[in-house]
Amino acid sequence: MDPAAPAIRIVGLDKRFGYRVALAGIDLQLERGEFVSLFGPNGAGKTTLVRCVATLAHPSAGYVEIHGTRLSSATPDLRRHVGVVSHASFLYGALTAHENLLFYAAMFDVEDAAHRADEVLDQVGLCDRAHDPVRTFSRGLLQRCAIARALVHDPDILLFDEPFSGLDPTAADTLHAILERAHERRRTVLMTSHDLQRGHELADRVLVLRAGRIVHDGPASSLHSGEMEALYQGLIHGATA
Amino acid sequence: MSGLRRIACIVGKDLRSELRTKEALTSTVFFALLVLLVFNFAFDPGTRDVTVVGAGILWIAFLFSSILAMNRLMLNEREDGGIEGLMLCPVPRTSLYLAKCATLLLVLLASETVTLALFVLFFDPPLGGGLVELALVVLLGTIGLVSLGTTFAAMAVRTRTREAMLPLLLIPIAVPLLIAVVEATSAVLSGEGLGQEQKWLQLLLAFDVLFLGIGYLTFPAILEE
Repeated sequence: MDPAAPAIRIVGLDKRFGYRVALAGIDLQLERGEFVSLFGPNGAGKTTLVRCVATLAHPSAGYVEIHGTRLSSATPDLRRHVGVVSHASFLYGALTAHENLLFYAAMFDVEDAAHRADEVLDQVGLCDRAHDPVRTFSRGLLQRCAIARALVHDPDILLFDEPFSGLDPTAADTLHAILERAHERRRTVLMTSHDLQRGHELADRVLVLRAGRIVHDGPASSLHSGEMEALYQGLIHGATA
Repeated sequence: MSGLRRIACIVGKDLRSELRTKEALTSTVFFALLVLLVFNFAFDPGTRDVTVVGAGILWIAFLFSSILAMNRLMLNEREDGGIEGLMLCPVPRTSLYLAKCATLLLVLLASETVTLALFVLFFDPPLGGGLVELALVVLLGTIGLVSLGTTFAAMAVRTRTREAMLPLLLIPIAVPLLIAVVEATSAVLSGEGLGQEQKWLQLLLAFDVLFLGIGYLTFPAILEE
């Protein structure tokens, strides 16, 4: 691990599913402690990009580095640095929320796993349901538990793929606070979202992905929230008009 | 945590899930019971016939109930991305294969123990002192099925026709294994024992080693898109 290297470096990343091109030549670098929001319409390639960085999908061409180490040649230990929230919860329905977190904590060698599991369940407001089987959870509760799972090993890189989907306003505010705190603690965050306002508020930098290519990459501070909306609509709908 | 402890952790999680739901165990035991009942009504074999057809009946019950278990366990792992959760953990993906094999083996051995008891109850085979030899054949045969089944179930579960796909992939390749286990089981049931039938045990061992090796090496690629 190179301490001077960026947290995430993506070089010439292509991902094809048969003839369909999901990602086309993505070059991207996230510095340590940077919060990047990634926007784009459905099918733009946001989830595929997150999956490639998370080692869940193998690039068709190009490569991804985490802290200066290429994922293709990386040891599994590199995954300790990454926490992922995706469309699937990665939880086991027959186990309780607490048991799920204990399992993942054990897999990541978390010390005092029971205490840590309680701590993250408290962060996402799930203490009162900690000992209920996850299969009895609503979509929103499941998403909160998935966020707790991603945080249980305190990773320094967070990959959040539409984390606000399915959350009620209170839970969304809780997640917003968790992400702000992660940013304050210099965690590197790559978050995809359809919520332009929230994504813009949280981010240092905003990206827009369209048809597998980055069509905008700029600092969030250079845009007001309303301008972000106009920019996005112009980039997405302007291109199709 | 060492690799072996992580594998044990995954197996423990799988078994805890299975003991809560009993989805794989219940379906395999009931399916095997139905197979044995059907053959019991169809043949009503006496002791002599059991030595001829008993091994086939037993392994038909084992094979098809194991396919149910393979599909069920892998589907549980696919539901809500459980297997991808494991892929995010700091564990080599080859270890995931070993963990999945171990879980399936334990579930199948539990189910086969019940099936074997039902087989003895329905068909009254002349086992004599051959129980240990039979256990050895069942163990080696089950390891072979597990080594193939874990690999193919991981492939089949991603298809829409997973229930049909798994037997289509598994059975043709398992033919040498099935011949060996049926011949070896016949030898035990007939009272000859395995002394004269070492070649079937050797074939079983070779099959197990070969397909465990292939599964171990190919499983990471199967898991990734």
